Amino acid sequence: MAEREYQDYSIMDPADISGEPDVLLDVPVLKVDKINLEVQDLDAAVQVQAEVLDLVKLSVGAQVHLGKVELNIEGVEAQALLKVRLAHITALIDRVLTTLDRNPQIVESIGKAVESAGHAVAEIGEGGGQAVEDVGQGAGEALPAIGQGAGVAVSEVGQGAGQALPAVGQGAGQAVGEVGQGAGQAAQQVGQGAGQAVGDVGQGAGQAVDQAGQAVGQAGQQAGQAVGQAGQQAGQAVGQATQQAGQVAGQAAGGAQQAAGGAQQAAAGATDAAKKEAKKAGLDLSQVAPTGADGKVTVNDVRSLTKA
Amino acid sequence: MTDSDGEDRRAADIEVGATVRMKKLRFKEKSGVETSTHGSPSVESETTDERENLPEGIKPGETYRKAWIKKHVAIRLTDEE
Repeated sequence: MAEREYQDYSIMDPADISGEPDVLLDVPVLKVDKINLEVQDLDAAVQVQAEVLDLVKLSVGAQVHLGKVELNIEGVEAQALLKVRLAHITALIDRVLTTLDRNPQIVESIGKAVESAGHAVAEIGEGGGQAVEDVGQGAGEALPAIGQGAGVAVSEVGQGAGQALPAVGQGAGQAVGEVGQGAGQAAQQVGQGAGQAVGDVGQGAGQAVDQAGQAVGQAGQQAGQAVGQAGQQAGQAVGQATQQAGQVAGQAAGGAQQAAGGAQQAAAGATDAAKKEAKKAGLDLSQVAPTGADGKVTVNDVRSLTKA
Repeated sequence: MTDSDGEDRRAADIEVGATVRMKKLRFKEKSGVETSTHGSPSVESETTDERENLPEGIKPGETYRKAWIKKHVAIRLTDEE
């Protein structure tokens, strides 16, 4: 075996290679009385493959494919034979190895080629990384721009809203002012009639709402100043109106209470005869000075006054 | 080795052969059989197919008697690049 292992096939005449197979599978006779066979997609293959680095790749093979077979066989006699010869393949590989052994510079060149390929792959990887980085940078620049644009848009919206709000404020301010005036006028007339005062307030409020609508239409021209003035006027008007209304209402209520109290007191401090006499004479008992017991007005008190 | 053309040829790298004799054979349905060879860098192949009482196009349900078939495939690498 040692002689065969080191035999130099590269200088060997192919005709001298033995024809004997290296692998032999021989089924001389196979007898089966009966076979019921059912197969589907059956693949049978035999292959020889030999590689020396990336320099030499040898392969040879055969394949049989059965789609679908369903059969019945009786009285079967079969023979099968497989031969594989590796001598030629071995000779090819050995020739390559001998060539490399005698020309080592080939291996060095191959090494350099592999190294260059490695650099190329590295550069490709680097280029890929840079490309990804550029994409990331582009995305990063795009996002702030989008954010800036959104910020500007929001700012403009805010500015617009800011302009609109003072205008609304101005209108509202004027409206409140008119309401205050209306309320003030209404409060001054409380002493004349509560119902009329309420009607005036409603009218004033209605006018104020109308004027508020007009004021909204004039939005944006005199925003802050109008709001300030309107608010001030409204505060003053409401304050004055409230104060005056309170005073008038308080005075009216006080007078009424006094009058009611006097009438009640007079009616309670007179005798029945005095009440009849006073009623007959058309006198107000509160104007008669009492001389009776417990401070009551007597008949004589009434008569003395009618006689006089 | 000398082939039928009288040229010297080395023995095949792979040879596959089978022979089957059958007294009675019946296919229930038509089957599909494919035989192929492959190799690199390049190969050449020889296929022989001999048969008796068994036609190429079999008929499902028909019974074939005393059939015989022999199949042989030889493949060799070539020196052509």
